Amino acid sequence: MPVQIVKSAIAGVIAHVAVVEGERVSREQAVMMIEIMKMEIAAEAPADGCVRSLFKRPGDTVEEGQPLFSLET
Amino acid sequence: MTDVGWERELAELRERQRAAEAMGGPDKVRIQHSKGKLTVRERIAGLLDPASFREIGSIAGSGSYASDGTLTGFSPSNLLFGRGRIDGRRVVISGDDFTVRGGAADASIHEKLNQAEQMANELRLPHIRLLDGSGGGGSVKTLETSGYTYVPAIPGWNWAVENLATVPVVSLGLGPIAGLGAVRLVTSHYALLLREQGQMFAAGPAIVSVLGKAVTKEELGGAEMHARSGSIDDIAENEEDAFAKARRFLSYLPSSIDSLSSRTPTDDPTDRAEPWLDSVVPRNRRHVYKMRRILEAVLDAGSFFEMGRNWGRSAITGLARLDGWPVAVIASDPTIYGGAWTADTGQKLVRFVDLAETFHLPVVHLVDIPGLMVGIAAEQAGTVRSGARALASVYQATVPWCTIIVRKAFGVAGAATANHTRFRYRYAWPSGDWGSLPVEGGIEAAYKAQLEAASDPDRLREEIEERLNRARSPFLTAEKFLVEEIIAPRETRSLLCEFANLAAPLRRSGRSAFGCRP
Repeated sequence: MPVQIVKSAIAGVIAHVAVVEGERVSREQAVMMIEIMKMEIAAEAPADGCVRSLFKRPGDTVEEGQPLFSLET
Repeated sequence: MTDVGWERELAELRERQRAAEAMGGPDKVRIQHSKGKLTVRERIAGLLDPASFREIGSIAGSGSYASDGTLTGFSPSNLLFGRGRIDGRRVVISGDDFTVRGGAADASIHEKLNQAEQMANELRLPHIRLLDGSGGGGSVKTLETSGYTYVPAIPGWNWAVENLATVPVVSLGLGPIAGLGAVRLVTSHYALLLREQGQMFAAGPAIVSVLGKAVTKEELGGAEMHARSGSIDDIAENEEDAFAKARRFLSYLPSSIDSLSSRTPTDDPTDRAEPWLDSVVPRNRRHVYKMRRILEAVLDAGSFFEMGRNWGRSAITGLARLDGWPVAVIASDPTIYGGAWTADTGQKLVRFVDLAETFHLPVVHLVDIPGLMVGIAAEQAGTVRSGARALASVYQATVPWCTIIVRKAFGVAGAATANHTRFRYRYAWPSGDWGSLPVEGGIEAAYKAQLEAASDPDRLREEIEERLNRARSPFLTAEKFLVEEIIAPRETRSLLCEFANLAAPLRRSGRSAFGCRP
């Protein structure tokens, strides 16, 4: 089954992780919330699948293009 | 004496035409196909309306001759050009032939390049360039054949630059493109690269590796990378997709600055009101929503043609139709830095507003801008100058302009929603939230002394915030007539269609005060 590495569209701080590793998610479901410019912006699953690994934890900083999680689709 | 006519010459003409149509010969054509690429003649046929290509310079090239002057071989020029039609409208098309010397421009006969650009300009026709080749000067080997060198000049470049201010220019990067080819690609109103087949660079991997860094073509200049760098506007998935995108881009534009774009019949009612729009913006100001869905709801169904999706991403830009009239659309994307203008967003906006101004397209701006992006990285990227340039482009624009404030409009970038000295064709949603500085970010700075002196600074901050939020209602702004109208979001489409119909007769053909730059 193909595994997709989902990268961050923006720089910011991980405010919240909404799933645990192994959890099934549907397309456009928020996996993490990234805080920037006083806003919380969701990093969404690009497709239905299973979250294999989470690469960031709450409080971590993230740069644009950095891997956030892997998704088995 | 018997007049035998010109049969011999006509036979030679046909022979030369056949040789030119064979391009680089069967082996080179086979190699081109084996890479999954079409030949230049197949591309021209695929893009233009059937049988509409009128080639110019069809037998230009390099002949070889026997001692008695008989033609023994012929290698055609590797730049083809001519006129044709797209959706019935006349265009100029030029294309590199990779099967002849890898598309190297020194085998193209420079005057053809010049004539293609000049024809587009003087006949006031859009120009589509099909690029698949290397640079302009060939290789250093040229020195051995010429025996001299020269100060570089690009044939026809005056026309290429002038065309940006005169006719729509589309460039499709369908193979590896270096040097002059790369500059031809980006000197366009709409440029794309073909995924995995098209790459663009100032100099290719062979030269870059000599300088110490081994890279692949794709790493150095692939479509994904350049869509993010902003050097191109779009990525095509295959050649047919590239042709479809070129046709679609041109459908929104006039043939030149001397005419106006045409209305297209539409079945989408102007009074189509989507009730979900009334609740699409979250009440919680920290939460975001999807602007592209709003665009689909308010523009003519299926009419939005996005350009530059992968760079300057806090602003969405593209062409669309409202009640059939072509318009240029700018819309904030709050999922990218809350919609704050980054440095590349500013650059993208300048280019897009210039396109609208050059081709007389009314602008619709859906605004959710918390300001210019802040922070060290943003300052290092030159965000202030870039934002100021975007602001200048908005103030220089003279095309009809309609603003919908969806949520935030703060600071300098918020003031770039429109030129405020023009008639303010503007509506705001009830989620409108504006000012010189967002309350959330401004309290620390404005009440610094009081917060430092307070025994419970968090509580004081909350009290101040609550007090300030009471003055934040958009109705208080409307009461002072500082925003003209607050509307139900579902009414947006009908109001935008009304704008497009009012704007249509106001459009003026002719040259704008300044032309586009690449």
